[in-house]
Amino acid sequence: MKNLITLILLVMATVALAQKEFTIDMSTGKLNLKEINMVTIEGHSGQNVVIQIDQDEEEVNERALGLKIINPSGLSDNTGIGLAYDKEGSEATLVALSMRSDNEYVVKVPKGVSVYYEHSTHEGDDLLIKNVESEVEVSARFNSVRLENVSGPIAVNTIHGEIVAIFNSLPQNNSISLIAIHDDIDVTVPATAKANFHLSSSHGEMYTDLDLKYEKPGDLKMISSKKVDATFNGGGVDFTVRSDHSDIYLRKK
Amino acid sequence: MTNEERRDKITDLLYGLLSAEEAGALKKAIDQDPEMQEEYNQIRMLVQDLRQLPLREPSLDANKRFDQWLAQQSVKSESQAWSGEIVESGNIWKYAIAASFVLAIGFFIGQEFWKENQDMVLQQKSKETLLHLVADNSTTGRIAGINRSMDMNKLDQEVKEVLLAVLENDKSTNVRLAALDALSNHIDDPEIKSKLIQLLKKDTQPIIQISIINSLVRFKEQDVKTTLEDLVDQQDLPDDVRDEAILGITRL
Repeated sequence: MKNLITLILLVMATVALAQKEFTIDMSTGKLNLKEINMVTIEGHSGQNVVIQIDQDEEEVNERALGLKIINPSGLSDNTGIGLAYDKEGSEATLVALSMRSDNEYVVKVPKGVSVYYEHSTHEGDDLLIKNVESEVEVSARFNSVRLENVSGPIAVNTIHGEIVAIFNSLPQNNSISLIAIHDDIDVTVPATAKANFHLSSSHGEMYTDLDLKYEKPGDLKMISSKKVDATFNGGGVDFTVRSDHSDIYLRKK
Repeated sequence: MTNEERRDKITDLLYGLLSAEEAGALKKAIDQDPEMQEEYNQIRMLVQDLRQLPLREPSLDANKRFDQWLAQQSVKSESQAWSGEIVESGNIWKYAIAASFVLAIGFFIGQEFWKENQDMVLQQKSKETLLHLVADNSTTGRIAGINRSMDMNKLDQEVKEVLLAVLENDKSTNVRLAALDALSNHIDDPEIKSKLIQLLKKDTQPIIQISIINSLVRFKEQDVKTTLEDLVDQQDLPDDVRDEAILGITRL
């Protein structure tokens, strides 16, 4: 019995350790997330930005207990979750201190907060963005990016990862841009969505089941046979999809 | 000569309608032929009697009939004149075809002028939108502005300089990529090609470098090969950019 109670206490302690949270008081403005290897960004109805961490036991470096990580930029962990936090005007910035962290962060953002995510090393992992209503911008190198039910304007680029985007509705303000150099881009849009698609794949193929209306061949815009401008449902938001070395899938829900 | 022909000649002689030669020949024949002399004398007396008859005014009915006849002749004449013109001009169809051709050319020119005018209006509007939006605070707003360059068959100097400045200086790589894409559609412009090559040498963003390489290689710019070879030799070049440059060289 004693052993069972001890086990339960240990599990509870582990869970307590694994569930850390940092809150930023902001309901508008811009949130910058930099060099965070693995993150899920979710829209929520709250008035604060909430960052949660699912820190598994393997991540705890017992040898480093009681020590601070030295960051080349001089940043320090002022959040308690391995991130450096700074706020200037309407912009809040969180920067990961460890390049090799396997921490899985969940960042919950209010409707009025736009998001900028940036990552530049090969440690970049999966990035999931869902239910966000403000502008989302991603500039990544190795991350794969998945967008689910994002209803604000979007600009995403990644060199080595893939991009999957599933829209419940297409935002009609500003523009949408998805660029992946070496991997696929898979986009699902509602059958009634309106868009002006600008599709290009220099060395890949492009597939679709959408009833697209193409620009006339010979037009300057069709200067490359792998570059296609087409309207869907009469045209709407400018929607750029570009994969230089891989395929593009454009499908309806 | 028949008797009737001979009487006609004698009548013409009396009315002075024969030439001197004909008249001399006919008088000689009359002098030599008693039968002809008899005939000549009868006709001469008849002509004299006719010349002595008094002139009479035409009756009202005669005038009316004359007027009707004249009117009929006038209508007939007009009708004949029309048909004569059709036959004479050869060919109103030719005129009709020519007129249609002129009208068609006029319509075509008008349509082209209208289309060109519409294009100019659209391009001017797109330019204004572009110049307005490239200063937008949001990334996607600036991209939307840059995308308006797709409405332009040719970039004017102002738009070109704005796009080159955005490509070089914008803080967002997504906006820079949009500017690069817009400029790549006009890479046959020597200024644009030259700027892209310059930027490729000095930029530090891998996705910008890779995209410039792909733009230049996609349009088969052979003179880029040397630039790529120099790039590959740079020690501090990121591996993925070097790989792209090597791939580009093999494709040129």
